[in-house]
Amino acid sequence: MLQGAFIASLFLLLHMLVLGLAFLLALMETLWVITGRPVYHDMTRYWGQPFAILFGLMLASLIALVVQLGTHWSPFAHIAGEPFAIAWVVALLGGFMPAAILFALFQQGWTRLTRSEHLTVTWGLALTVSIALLAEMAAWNLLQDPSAARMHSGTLRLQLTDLAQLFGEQAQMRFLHLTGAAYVWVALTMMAVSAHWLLQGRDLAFARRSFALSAGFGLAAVLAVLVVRMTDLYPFVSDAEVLSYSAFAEARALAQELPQGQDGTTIALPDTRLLYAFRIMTGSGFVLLLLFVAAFLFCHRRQAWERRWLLRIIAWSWPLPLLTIAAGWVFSEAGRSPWMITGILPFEAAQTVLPVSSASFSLAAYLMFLGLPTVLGLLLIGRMFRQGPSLLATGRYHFEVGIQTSWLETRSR
Amino acid sequence: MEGLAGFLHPENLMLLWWGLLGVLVLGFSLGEGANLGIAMAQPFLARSEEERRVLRNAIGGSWAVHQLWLLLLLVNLLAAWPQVFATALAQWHAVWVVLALAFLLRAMAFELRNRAQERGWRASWDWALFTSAIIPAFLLGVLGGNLFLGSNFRVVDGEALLWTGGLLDLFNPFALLVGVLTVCLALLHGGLHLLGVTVYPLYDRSRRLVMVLSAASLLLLLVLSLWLALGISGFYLNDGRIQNELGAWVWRFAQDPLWMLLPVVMLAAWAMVLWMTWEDQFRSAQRYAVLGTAALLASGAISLYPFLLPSQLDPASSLLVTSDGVRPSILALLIGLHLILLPPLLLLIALLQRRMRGRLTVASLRRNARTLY
Repeated sequence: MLQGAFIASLFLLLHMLVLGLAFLLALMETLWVITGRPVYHDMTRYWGQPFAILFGLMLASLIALVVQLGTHWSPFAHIAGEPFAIAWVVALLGGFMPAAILFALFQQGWTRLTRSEHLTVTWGLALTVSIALLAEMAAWNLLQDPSAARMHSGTLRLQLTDLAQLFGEQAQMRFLHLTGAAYVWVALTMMAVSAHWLLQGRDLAFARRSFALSAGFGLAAVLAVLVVRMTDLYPFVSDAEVLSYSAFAEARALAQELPQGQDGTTIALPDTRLLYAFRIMTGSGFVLLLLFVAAFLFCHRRQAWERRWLLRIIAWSWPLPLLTIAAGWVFSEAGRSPWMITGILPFEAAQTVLPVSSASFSLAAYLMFLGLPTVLGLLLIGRMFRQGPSLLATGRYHFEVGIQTSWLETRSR
Repeated sequence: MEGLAGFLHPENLMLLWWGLLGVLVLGFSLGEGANLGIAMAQPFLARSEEERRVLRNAIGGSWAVHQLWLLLLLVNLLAAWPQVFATALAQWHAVWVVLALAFLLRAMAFELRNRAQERGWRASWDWALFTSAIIPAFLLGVLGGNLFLGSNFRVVDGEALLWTGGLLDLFNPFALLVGVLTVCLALLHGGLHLLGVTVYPLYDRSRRLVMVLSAASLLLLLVLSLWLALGISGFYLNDGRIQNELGAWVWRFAQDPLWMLLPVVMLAAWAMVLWMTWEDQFRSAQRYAVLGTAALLASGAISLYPFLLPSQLDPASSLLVTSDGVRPSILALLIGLHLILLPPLLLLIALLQRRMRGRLTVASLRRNARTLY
């Protein structure tokens, strides 16, 4: 249970980062191909480095996710495998597998592909990781609302009844909402890192381009998330409506435990977790909106670089999107408990009965082999951010200027 | 139209699906086999940092996609034979955890190694790469070998109950030998791939490796075939009842001389790999290796058919190609998805190989120091 939540949420967060970065990389490279300015080439190359680490980590956690579905959730796999597997086949064949190939071409193709070919590869990468997320959202949506499938009374298996509904409006809404959130997250991170460089007064041209691009892109994304705010799925705008929704979720949970016929008499208690999660999600969402509006307006007036207070706020606001996403996660997941698949399969029945020793062995192993590399990867990304574009070794940036020998060396190669 | 409707009969769909999964296994064996082999060969073949980098870049970016064949296979198994998926993974739980960890480690070894300069950091990731390659190559072979021996589960009320007697039972002599074979074959594929992309001295070392390993694999294949025919009790269907008897796995080959061709082609192909490498014609050696792998997988599959996961504990519980009762509409959907999505994927792989062609030299690595692994 703990392990499943750890791997699934790690995977989804990494996937969101990869998705957001891929789109921004495609934008930067498009700007490079159109304008021909080398700073956009350097930006694509530079932000492609953390992208590579995140992509590797994402694939690694994907493998862990699928394998542990069989090892730790085998009753779930057995009962509900069919509709979920179909969504995952689409995610792999149409999403991750082409993305993995395009990733290789993106990374190693700089010298072997023409500009427009490489640009096509980058856009293809952004497209395929999005297809993968859409298919994942189809699977996730099925956990929340399994109406695209039906329990067969004879075999006790969940059968897919409606493929169009599996990938239907609900799944698409979730996809758009999460995609927007991913764009916001990546844009804010990029803006915060650029703000750090601006505050330190180094690599100004590079930092300003990164800052301006992420401010504009982030503003568009945050507006998009607010528009697609899942109103069709959770139709509430006020606290009272959230409370009544949570009371409904609680009643559903209680009704399961009590004997049949007493449904009407159970007294439902509202779940305050949901309320707080909802408030945090919407509240920090609006703070993000303000940040992006301010950054965008000052950028537009070419004043953002002088407003040090703004840069400081932005530089330290990087945990905000993560908080928003975590709150959104709690909000949509807490409403589901105790169900693995709403109304069909409770958590307890979905798990493999494993001896405690082997379950804790594998939890420890996953924590070590997935958690540790993730931490290492994030530390490396932090190092890249501190180093800035100097790590490209083009000879044009902060830590290289003044060290003439290395500049000469790079040129003579 | 009637012919088509007849062809789309559920049983034919099931056979088609079974064959399609075979194609995925072949894709995994060829693509990932070579990658694992190169990673395993690194400590023997490479003698300097730059040679190590040549080998890593011979795998290049394709490590990311080829390992996903295995995932695709698992997900397909889940879609069409959920019971086989749930039984195989839950039963060999620890093995799968170790496999997943090995793949995790490998992804890290590629993406993290060159991000820091420290010698200790790089050396540790080199070892990680070697370990994370040899473990899956060996364990997947051991699991494959155990398919022929049957595993320990019983199906009661449609739910698989596992006999948790001993994971160590997996590591019996026959399966261990199959594991050794898969390690050898992976190394062999890796070596053959290197013949196409390296220059002296790596080329010569790879060539020696390929010759030694193709001789060893040929020997192992002969021993294992005889063992299967004479020493392993196989399962067969007798009027709908599942029975087992010594040597039953090879009866099918005796029944039809056409099937008999498969193992013959397999042995001949691997012998040709040895000869062609001796003659220094690596392109045809590579082609024969593809043929040999396909024939090996096909022989194994034909020999097991119609069993997917036989049970030694309770033969009647064995899971067959036909036993899990997946609906024809879902099968048709899955086959359709593959027919639509697989060709563009294969095209992309071909494009990757075409664009990344050319021999890797230390000089070319220096020129592209920032973009290569």
